[in-house]
Amino acid sequence: MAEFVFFSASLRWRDPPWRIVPCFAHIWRAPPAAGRAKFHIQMLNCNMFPRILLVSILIFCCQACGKKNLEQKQEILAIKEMSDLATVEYVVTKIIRASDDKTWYKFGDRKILMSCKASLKAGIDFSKISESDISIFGKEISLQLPHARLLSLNIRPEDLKVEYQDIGLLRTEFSSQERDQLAAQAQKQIEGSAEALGILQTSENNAALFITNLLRQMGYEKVNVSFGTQSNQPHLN
Amino acid sequence: MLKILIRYIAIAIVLIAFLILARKLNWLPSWSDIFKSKPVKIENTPILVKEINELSQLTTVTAFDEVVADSFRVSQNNFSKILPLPMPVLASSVDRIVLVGKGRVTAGIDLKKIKDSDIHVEKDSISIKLPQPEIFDAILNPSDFETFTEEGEWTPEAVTLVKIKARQEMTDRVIQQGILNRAASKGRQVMLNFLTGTGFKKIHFE
Repeated sequence: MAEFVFFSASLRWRDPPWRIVPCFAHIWRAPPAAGRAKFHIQMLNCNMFPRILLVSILIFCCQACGKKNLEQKQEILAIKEMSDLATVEYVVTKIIRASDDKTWYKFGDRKILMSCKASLKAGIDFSKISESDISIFGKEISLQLPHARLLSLNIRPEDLKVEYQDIGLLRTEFSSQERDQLAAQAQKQIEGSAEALGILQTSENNAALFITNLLRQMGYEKVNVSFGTQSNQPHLN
Repeated sequence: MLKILIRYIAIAIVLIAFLILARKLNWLPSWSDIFKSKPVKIENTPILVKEINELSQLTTVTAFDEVVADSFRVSQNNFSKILPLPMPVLASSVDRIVLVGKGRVTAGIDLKKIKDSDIHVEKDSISIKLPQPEIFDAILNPSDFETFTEEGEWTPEAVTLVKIKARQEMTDRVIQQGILNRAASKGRQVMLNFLTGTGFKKIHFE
């Protein structure tokens, strides 16, 4: 018969294995107290070396797995929580026309004509609706929503096409980076003219319609929707 | 002879002094500007609206990510075109393109999919069935790409395929990180706040 000797020890989670390994037979965890996890360790006076070795390997494996999981979680740069309600999408097209003939020491010129299709989404920030913006009188409800803003601009790679190129004999073709720089200028122009396209006004109209329908589905008979007094400028996150 | 030499030196000094003065007064561009290539600017062409779509997409999570996508192919080099060499190693070269893209993926709940039958109201309690979360957009715009290497001639169509590959990789990675679960829980939280504000005391999500 093996002889059992009982004792309890207070150990930190990150204590080195040689503090806890040499006396393992059975381990159970007591509730954590003051930032320290208490282990009650039952000691067995017999030849435990194979079991000790097995437990040590398991601990090291668990630590290694923990580190690996942490590294995997760091792959994404950032995750941001938000509450944007996109109520309208405008699909727009633009011709990108450029001529590279301004540099005096480059002989011959080169011209490019590209077409691009962009998707613009606008909507309201749901998180900005506070309880003070809502007033209820029986079956009548009044809401003040924040003004609409431009939420996203998306030019998919497949929606950007080179239609025509005219390259002088002594010049090289436009590289991928140069084409991207030209498309980035078009992207800025589209973003800058979002307000002129009327996307924000359409977005607010759609938001009012959607909220009205939703609240009517919930049993309200009269719904009044208005928009706040914040600045109505398009900007992207 | 000496007089002629002095005259030439004086003219040279006056010319140098004039050039220095002109540069100081910004009448002349700097040496670095003279040999700097001018940026290519696009013309201001009109923007045409093709479609207007009504949406009700509640975007609850945005994941920002950086991806690298590459492609390579073996091609004949220019030297081999001029002199046909018997050795295939010398006659061929590897074209490679490596792009780095910084983009974002948005996910949330499409509230347009809520049907009348998904909402049950009784006095101050409401039961609502929210649609499944989904990926709305994977945005990698032209300004989000950086060309790390471009060796050889790559057609715009071939570059587009590499960009699509980068976007797919970004979306897959973000889904693997559980963005849809986060989008669902945040969506429930947003709707809970909205419904509490609109007077409901008991709110249940199916």
